[in-house]
Amino acid sequence: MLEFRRVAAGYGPDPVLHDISFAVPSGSITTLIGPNGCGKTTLLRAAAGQLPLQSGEILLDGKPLGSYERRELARTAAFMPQVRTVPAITVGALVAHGRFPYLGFSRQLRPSDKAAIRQAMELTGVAAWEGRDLRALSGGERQRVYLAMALAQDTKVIFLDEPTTYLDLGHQFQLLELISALNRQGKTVVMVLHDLAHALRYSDQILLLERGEKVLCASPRAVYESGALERVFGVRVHQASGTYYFTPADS
Amino acid sequence: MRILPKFCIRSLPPTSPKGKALVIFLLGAMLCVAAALSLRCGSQDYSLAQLLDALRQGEGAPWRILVHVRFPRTLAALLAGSALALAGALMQAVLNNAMASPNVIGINAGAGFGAMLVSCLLPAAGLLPAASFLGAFGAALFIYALARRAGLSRTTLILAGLAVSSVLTALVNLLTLLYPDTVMGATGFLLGGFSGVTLAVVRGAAVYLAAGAALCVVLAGDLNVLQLGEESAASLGLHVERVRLVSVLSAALLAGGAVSFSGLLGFVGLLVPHMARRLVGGDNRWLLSASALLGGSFVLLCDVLARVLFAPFELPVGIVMSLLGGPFFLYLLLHRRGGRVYA
Repeated sequence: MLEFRRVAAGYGPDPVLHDISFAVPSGSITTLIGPNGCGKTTLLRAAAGQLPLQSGEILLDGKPLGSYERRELARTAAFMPQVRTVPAITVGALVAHGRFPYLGFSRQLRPSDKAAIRQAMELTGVAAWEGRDLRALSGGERQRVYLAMALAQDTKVIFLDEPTTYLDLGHQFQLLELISALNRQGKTVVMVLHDLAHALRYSDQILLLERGEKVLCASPRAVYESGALERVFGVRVHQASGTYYFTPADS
Repeated sequence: MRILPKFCIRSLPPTSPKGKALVIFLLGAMLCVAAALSLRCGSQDYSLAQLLDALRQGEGAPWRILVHVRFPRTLAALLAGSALALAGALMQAVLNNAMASPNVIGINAGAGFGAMLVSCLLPAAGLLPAASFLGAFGAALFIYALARRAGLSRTTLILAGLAVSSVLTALVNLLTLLYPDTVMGATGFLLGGFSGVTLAVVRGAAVYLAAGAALCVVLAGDLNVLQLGEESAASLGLHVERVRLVSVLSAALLAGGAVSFSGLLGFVGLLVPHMARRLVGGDNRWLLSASALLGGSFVLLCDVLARVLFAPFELPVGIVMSLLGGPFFLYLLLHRRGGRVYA
């Protein structure tokens, strides 16, 4: 579904990402992990077509990313950035913006758009808040509304940049369960997560980055067994009763 | 202190399209009333019946006053108010900054400088709107480029705008000193006003205003998407850069057109979009319409007061506008409500 071929990308003359190659199978959850500043967000932005590449190529759904027209890209991949503004807008109006890539010149919603909006709101459980002000919602609720907007976009792939930031543990799980439910319905998910335990638990594939370079890209099991987490993060990883936990390296 | 009864405040802005349409209708009605008042009142008051009589006769002193003085003036005030309010609403949306109105960030000053330069060096009335537009567009692009390149924070952007504005205003002042006898009465131009405005001058600017307003119609929906933030908007397939540039162009057309015949009217571009946001919420499709209607009414009413208060002497409308608008703006700021639905 998504393939990076020797990609270098960044903001200035020195690229943040060097020579990244990996592939995301259709219908999988791929999680990007790595220490702060390793280029996770840069990689996600590049994958979402938000950042021009310095070299290499990204294929989305078999087609080079650069050959997509703006709206066509927005109908293929949705992107939920980490920093989201909270505009003065109702929940319903925000989710409706997800249909923007499908609208004609008059920007009027058609019945098919309204159906997609309704469905996205019901899937994420935000339908009851339709008329509420986005700013009056809690962080976890807002996150679900943004997810609903991304779903209304009706794309094959969805990119999420740290969707669980600022959420308490209960809401983190709620959101991740929702994401994996959406994945089971066929959505390909590529996301950045800070929390290694979440990443190991919810992913089909993990891409570990360090200083802009790929360390490895493998299943959670293989990543755990490789010992790379210990080295890159400077922690000790333990497995107990089907889950993972971490302790400082020198304990 | 409340200006509106409590139930009114609580139901504003309305959430349903019907409620918003009602607000727009009322604003339209208010604009008609303001225009009628502006035709009637002045150093000599006429009743509506007298006005109709004068129109029917097609001659006589009332007719001449109506056609050559009151009508051009009413039209000018209405158009300038609408255009400046629209330009303000556009710039606030584009820069995502509640302070970004054309008079604060130097667009009006740019237009004034362009107009003044042409009227000093190449005094031909036909060039005025073009020069005014170019001045406005130049200033707007400069501020916009600054914001893009340096990634200025909201406060810095406003400060940069103030700096640009003060340089341009200084240049305008310099020109008025160097060329004291230009076609533009210097103080009238600096404060803004409509005394002595002719239909020909307004007609010259009308193309610019019409083009700017037409762009607003196209832009409104896209500006709503831009509200979500640059990254989200881009990932929805919006051509962010193009929308911003076209908005800046539209704001320059509107502000440039208006300044070419009204002078440096400040404040309406800052105040009116805020009032409109209270009335119809943040959806730009409604907000832009409400700003245009409210801006027209506001300037018309201020101009009527300017003519009537000390008749037969006349105040520059800019003074009335600031005296009325300033305290009202403070009232709006102090009665900000956090949890209102603006869409």
